[in-house]
Amino acid sequence: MFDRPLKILIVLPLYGGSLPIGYYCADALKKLGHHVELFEAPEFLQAHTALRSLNISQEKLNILEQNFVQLISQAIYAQTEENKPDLVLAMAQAPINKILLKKLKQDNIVTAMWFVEDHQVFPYWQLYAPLYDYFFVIQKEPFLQQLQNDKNIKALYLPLAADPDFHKKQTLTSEEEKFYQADIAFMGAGYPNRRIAFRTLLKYDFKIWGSDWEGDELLARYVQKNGQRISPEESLKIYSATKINLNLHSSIHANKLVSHGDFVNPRTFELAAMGVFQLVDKRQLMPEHFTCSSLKNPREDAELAVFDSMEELQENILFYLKHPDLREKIAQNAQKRVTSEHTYIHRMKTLLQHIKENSQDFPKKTAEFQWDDAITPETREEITALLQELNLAPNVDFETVIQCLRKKNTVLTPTETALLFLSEWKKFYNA
Amino acid sequence: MEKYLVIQLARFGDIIQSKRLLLALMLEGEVTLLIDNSLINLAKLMYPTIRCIGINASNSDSRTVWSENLKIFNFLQQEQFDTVYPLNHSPLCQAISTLFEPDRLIGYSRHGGYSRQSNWVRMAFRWLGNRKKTPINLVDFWAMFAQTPYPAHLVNPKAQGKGYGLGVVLSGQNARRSLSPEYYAKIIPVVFQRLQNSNNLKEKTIFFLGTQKEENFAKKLLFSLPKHLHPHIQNLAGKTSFQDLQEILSNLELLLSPDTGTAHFAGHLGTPVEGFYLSSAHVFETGPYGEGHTVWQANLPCSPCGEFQACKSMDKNEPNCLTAFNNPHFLYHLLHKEFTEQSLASKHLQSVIPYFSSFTDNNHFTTFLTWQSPLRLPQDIQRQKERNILENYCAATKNTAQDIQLHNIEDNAIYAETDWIFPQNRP
Repeated sequence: MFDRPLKILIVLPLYGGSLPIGYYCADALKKLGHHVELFEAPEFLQAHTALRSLNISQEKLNILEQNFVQLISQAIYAQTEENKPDLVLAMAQAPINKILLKKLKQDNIVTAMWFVEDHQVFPYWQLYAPLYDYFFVIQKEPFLQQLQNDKNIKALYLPLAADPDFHKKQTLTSEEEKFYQADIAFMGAGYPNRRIAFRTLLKYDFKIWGSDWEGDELLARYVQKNGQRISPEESLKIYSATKINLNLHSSIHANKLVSHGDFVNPRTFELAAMGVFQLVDKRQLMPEHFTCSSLKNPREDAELAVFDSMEELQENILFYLKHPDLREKIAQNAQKRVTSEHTYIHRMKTLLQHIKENSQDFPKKTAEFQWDDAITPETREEITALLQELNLAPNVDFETVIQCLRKKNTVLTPTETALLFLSEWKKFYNA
Repeated sequence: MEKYLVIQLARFGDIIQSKRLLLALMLEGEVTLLIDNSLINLAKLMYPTIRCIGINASNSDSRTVWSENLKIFNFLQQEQFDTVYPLNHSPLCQAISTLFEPDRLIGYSRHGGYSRQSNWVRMAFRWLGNRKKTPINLVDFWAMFAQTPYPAHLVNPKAQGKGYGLGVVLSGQNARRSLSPEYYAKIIPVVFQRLQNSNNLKEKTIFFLGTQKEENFAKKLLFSLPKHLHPHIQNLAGKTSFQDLQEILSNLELLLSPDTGTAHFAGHLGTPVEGFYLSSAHVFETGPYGEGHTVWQANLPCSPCGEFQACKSMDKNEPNCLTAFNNPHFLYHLLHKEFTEQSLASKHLQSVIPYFSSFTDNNHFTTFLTWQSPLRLPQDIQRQKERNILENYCAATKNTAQDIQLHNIEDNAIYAETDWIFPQNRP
């Protein structure tokens, strides 16, 4: 797609659901051969916690928080000045303020956000979307219409995905098997709709994993590990040991147990990628990603077993507990679909393709590495080997080579040092 | 059953304005209301099913404050409340909140020796930066501390006159926020005339209502009123208990009042209020709650001013927001209350704006009280925009079945960049 690897800076959020997705994107882009830098915003979270811990008035804290956002934005800008990326890709809630977005525009650095949030719950996209060059979203209409027509933003629907290298079915030890196994399990946060919905499942061999379940006496004995947060690695073990993985999309509204929303959550793709069985509530955008099957409308080629109401959930549980072969078949179909269509590599390809098709010069042409007369033919071979070692294309520009060398944590070879020296010498004498 | 403590140490009107929150909490658990001792009778009258506890927060000697309050603090701590709602920004209220774990506190929490605001309270402080376009009132602000807000239109009965006289609240606690006797003396005959014209008055009595402090005010007002009205006057200043007040207010055709606790009490009882708001009083913050009330709001470039700011807009020792109520156009509209295009064109209103209360949508839990005027002022348009943003925020963060209506958040005074980037405190 591109005649050289791209330099991409991914700006992670300080916390939250879009954080792991940022890491998956980074891995996918690396696998596509691009150079990825991460702005590790989570490392600043502790500093923010420290700010909030200060014994100062709320007014002073407000000012400090504003200054802190400014400081983080400046740090991101410093990283872009240093690395001159072709693309700054921000995940939802990335700590990029408006001033920084305007600066990046002035510097002709292409910016994009993958807004993996519900646009109605997080209306801040209105303030930021117009400042990004590209805006990728997990919902369709009327959101896309609002972005494209009302605000003239280059927006694209980019659904969530999975990373099959990470989201793999785990082989468990017998102890792990004993600890994690369940007929039915749910892994996730205790949103109001889930709290109410799960009260109907207490007669089953049922386990709840994850945080924010406190204060519910009925569910308390089903909540595992005292409601501790579960790491992504451990969640794989849970999914692998469960016969029916429940996937009920979250809702703040306790009286809408099955919310019938539009976007498909990451858990749907992740469970599918693992080849484990899930029962998932029906979503408007689901049929275009998976072949959905319900007990009312069973499909031979089913990739997901879906339910539309709490009654259907109960019927599905009874049915699928009795049909392990069918569970296996559906899970395998889902896995095939994810591998062929719904990985983060697919998504990143789509994202870059969209940017390329809608930009006049993306990525910008850069000067090719010019052989200096001073460099002897023998060293050229060494440099070629070095470029291969650094995973750089033969026609990479000189500055990228130098940046890669600077990041090496090992002692440099004389050739590498000579290249660095040459770079500094050229800068010093403006040669 | 959940146990809730609501700490409300502000005044008469604030106890009444906490009603929407209290109603929501009463549906979910057992509620205790902690208030100043002087208002215990009112609180018990207002909320007979709530346990009301009085504390010595005013009008006491230091020995009583120490010994009596210590007993109460011991009791409160032993009660082990699940959730505590300190409603006031005041240091007294914050001091009491130190009895409880910070993670049980809603609205105002604390860290170290300092008060910490939840995201919702922080938003309120932002919108109060420009009070001219304050989006929602105090009742609705406190109501949103509850996870499932109480339906707004069910908080108070729709206001309807009962026919038994005209009530006049003489003055609020802060005299600057009230009409002077001379101005009231021009307004009362006009309104009395209007009520007589409507034939709704079954009893032609004008009740003066207030505390003992207002006896002098009552005398001056009586002196200034036309002689033909004197036989209709019944001066009850300093003569009514909260129980008496409830009885009188319940039967009135209309209550005239500045921004006072009595006006809120009338709202609670479903008696129509016609308010006169000037100085720092602002209908969009503390107008009487419920459908069917009217407030005449002073509208000068400096309105509403800060409560403790010296007035810089004076004319012959009288604030301009007071003299605005002497305008013949205002008195014309006060008499007719028709507001046709023609009458508004010929009798132009500028410094005093009429507002009428209603609820735009009774189906929504996050609905706020609306004040609408026949005049469409720029600040009212901006206010509507910010109200929409708040409704959306509440629909997204509260436990309601409400669909989220997305609204434009550009140029708003509610959200800050830090809201998006940092983890948020509980609502």
